[in-house]
Amino acid sequence: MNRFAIITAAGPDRPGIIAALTRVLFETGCNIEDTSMTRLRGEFAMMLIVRMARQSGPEAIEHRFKKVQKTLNLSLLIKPLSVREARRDRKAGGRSFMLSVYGSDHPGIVYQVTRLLASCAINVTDMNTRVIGPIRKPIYVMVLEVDIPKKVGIEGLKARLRKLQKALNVDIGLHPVESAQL
Amino acid sequence: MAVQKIIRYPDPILKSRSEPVRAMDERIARVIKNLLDTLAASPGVAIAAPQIGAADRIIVCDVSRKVKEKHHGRMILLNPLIRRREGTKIFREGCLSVPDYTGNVSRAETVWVEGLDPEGRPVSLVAEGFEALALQHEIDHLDGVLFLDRIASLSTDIFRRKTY
Repeated sequence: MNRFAIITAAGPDRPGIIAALTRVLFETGCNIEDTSMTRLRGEFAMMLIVRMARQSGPEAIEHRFKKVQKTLNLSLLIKPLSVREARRDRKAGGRSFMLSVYGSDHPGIVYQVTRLLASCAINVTDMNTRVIGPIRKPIYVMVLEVDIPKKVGIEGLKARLRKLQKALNVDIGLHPVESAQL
Repeated sequence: MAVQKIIRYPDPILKSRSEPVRAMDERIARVIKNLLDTLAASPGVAIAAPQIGAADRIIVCDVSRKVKEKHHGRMILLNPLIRRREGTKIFREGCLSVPDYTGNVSRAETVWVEGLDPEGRPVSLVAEGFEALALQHEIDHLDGVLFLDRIASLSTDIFRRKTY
């Protein structure tokens, strides 16, 4: 039976982090499946779903990571996944939209926006935020890819977002993700 | 003549250059018919001959079921060539031959395309927007180029920092 795990790790950015991490995975017989990795300021953050070899469980891999973790100053977490959780054919049930939110930075933007989405059972599938602009007048930019269930009306949602836009003093845009199967 | 199975990567035909059509014969006519039948049965708007296993420089394209903007309807193009490109647009593309994955690809907004119609007459047209994108995607197939070779940026990171 296949055994899966999700590994999340982060550490100070420098060349060689991925190579060091994946060397351990390779040597413990793990197969890397889906990953997302990105640099957040000075930190490099990694998320990987791996299929583990029969003989090495999360503990064995964790043990092998110890040395790398220390050298690279990495935080690391390995969480076992069931076969069902690691399934590849998860289809989004609704329609894909891009939501962009930007405005003067203040606490609560992410919370208020995602609370509204959650109350409509809208699933966030991808999200990036950045603080941009001058240090003294920072601008907050948030881009989300969301999956909107069929039962949620787009016009109604837009009206609620407009209300929130006023309350938070930000600009919010909602656009269908245009993609083409060619 | 029938709906063909769409060839999926890693079949090597998808990474090979297709041969120009030199003369209209029975085989070429069959490829064209098969392309039309297969496109009609697929969720796509365009298809290239290598996608049904024929290494011939033939594409068919019909964006009418997807867009309302100006377009040329159903086109069958032999030996198509892009003469000129203008503008750039990033669009999320998927491919019938690379299932379950889409990527942001940078394409020209307007293309000037030349080729032959099934009767062997020269065709020259200007395509814009979605139709231009479809033509570029299909003509790429004739050169063994997939959208995966042209990924312009990773999914939603349109606010990528320019300075670090």
